[in-house]
Amino acid sequence: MYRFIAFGHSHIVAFAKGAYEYQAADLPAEAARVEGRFLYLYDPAYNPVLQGPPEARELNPKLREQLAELPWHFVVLVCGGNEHNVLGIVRNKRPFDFVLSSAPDLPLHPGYELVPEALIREVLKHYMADSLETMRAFRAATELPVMQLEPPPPLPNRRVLAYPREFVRASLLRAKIAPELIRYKLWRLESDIYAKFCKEFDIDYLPAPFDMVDRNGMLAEAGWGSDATHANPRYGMEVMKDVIELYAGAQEARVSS
Amino acid sequence: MNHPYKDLPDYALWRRAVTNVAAPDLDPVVDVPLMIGAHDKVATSGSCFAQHIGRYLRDNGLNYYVTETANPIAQPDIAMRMGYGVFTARYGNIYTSRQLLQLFRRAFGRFTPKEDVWVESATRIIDPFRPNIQPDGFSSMREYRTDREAHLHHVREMFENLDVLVFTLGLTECWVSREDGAVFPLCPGVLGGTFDKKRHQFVNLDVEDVVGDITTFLSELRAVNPEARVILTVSPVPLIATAEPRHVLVSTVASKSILRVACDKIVRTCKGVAYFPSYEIVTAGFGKTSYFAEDCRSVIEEGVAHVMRVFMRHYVRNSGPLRSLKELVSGFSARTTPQTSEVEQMAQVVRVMCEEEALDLASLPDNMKR
Repeated sequence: MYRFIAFGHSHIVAFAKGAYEYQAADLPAEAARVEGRFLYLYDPAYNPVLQGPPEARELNPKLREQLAELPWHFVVLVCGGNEHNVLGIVRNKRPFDFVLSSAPDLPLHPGYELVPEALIREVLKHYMADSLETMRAFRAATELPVMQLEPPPPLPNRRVLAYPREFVRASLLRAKIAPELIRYKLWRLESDIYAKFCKEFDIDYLPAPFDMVDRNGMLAEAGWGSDATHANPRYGMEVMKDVIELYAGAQEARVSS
Repeated sequence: MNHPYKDLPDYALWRRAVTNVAAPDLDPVVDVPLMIGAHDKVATSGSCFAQHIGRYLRDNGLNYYVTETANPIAQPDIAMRMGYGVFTARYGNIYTSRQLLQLFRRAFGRFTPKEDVWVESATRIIDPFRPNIQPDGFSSMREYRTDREAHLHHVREMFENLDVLVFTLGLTECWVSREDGAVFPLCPGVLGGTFDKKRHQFVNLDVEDVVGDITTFLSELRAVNPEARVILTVSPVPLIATAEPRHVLVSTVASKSILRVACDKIVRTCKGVAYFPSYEIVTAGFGKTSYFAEDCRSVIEEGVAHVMRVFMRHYVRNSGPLRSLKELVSGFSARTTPQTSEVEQMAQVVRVMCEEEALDLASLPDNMKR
């Protein structure tokens, strides 16, 4: 039995629902069992999440209490994750594309302005700043293993346009949504920022389930949530399995070393 | 008795023009051969000090001409860190007359340097001609080549359409390629590339070199933009290091003197060119005040404000009532950093992107860099 506590923003919902489905599923005898607690960081009870002076912000004591309340095996963070959608979905005055350094041969959209990847990286970091600061505070608040989930891939454009709610609201114009390839690149770049941050702060970074990424780099239909940017419980269940695998693998490595 | 010094105007007499004038009121501009109108497109380029000019033009409602703008997704501070809006195009600091001429020729396809890229790694590509234009360079060769092409397009656009170019000469010392004479803003090996004495050569431009570069540049500029006017200035910022075998102070005075004399010769012979004495305003403390920071090199905001106040007074047509020095400084500081201390505000407003600073770091022993 693995006992964990998870904290996060909106993407935690799919993970929590998937984890509950996993718990309730008729699992084979050898499958690991889990017991999780899921705390939504937008819950007023835990806000502000970070307290104290800007140069030394700490986790809200109520969140620290949650961390200490039970002998958890590990902590799962689902911080942020929609920043790539901020740039990929909202209307841009000057449509842009960029060369993704991890896949520099991907096509560039004809006629779009080429923006340095470094600039987009900085803009994403600007929007990710609170999430990164929150991750850092959780890492500082516990000795337990901490892992951060990679945000789910972007939903295909046809799905976004079918559900113009949340981020995009009714103002979304068909012509203004970025091409899927650019949205894919933004997601990869955001993921790279999270990955590098995690490496720096000793946080494990769990990639999105392989089977939940379609051949265009979008969220596979099986994982589509009920809006334009989120995944569903089935996606969350696949994540749960990967979380178990990551933790168990790390434990095995620890024992063997 | 009559003689040429009799009845000279106040500005010609040191006691009246300097000794008896309060330091903030020193105004050495007498003759203004050209003016800037409210709608004139004013382009800027030059050394570190030139970065201040653009922001003052913008803050005072002039038409600061920027051809290479950041995509609006970027917040202003991020855009600035990436070199957008610091000058008219994203070319970074242009320290020498030769660099300016070279930039023009590259933009119009008249010169293509052979050593045109420094590959530090697959994801860190440095442009030898703007090595500090963005943190960590370009992230792929494809991005670098595409960005450079777009950049040079914006430079062409600038030269073809500007009404006034304000160019601040900073240095005479430079490093060039032995192969084709390409001039680098910074010695190879400092912020990228590898220094090789077989390929790279130190050159210290003399007066004739600077005059030749600028007059050639003017001629080529007027060929694509016949009405272009140019204001030359000399940066008061001393050299951070000299490659000559002599004291850096001696090199500084030599360099600035060469640049100053070159400007004097140019404005005497070239039409549509003015010299603006920012160098004189900042360096002429004469015991009254110092416009240099504690490092005896950086120009504090009061100095920049003084320079720009005089500039606006004389060169800007219908510039309206000028704000006082105190207003200029405090107003700018407040807009820039409303939540930081006054000291930090001051530190921030005078902060400029000088890749020359890298020379300071490069001169440290290895164990101090870490």
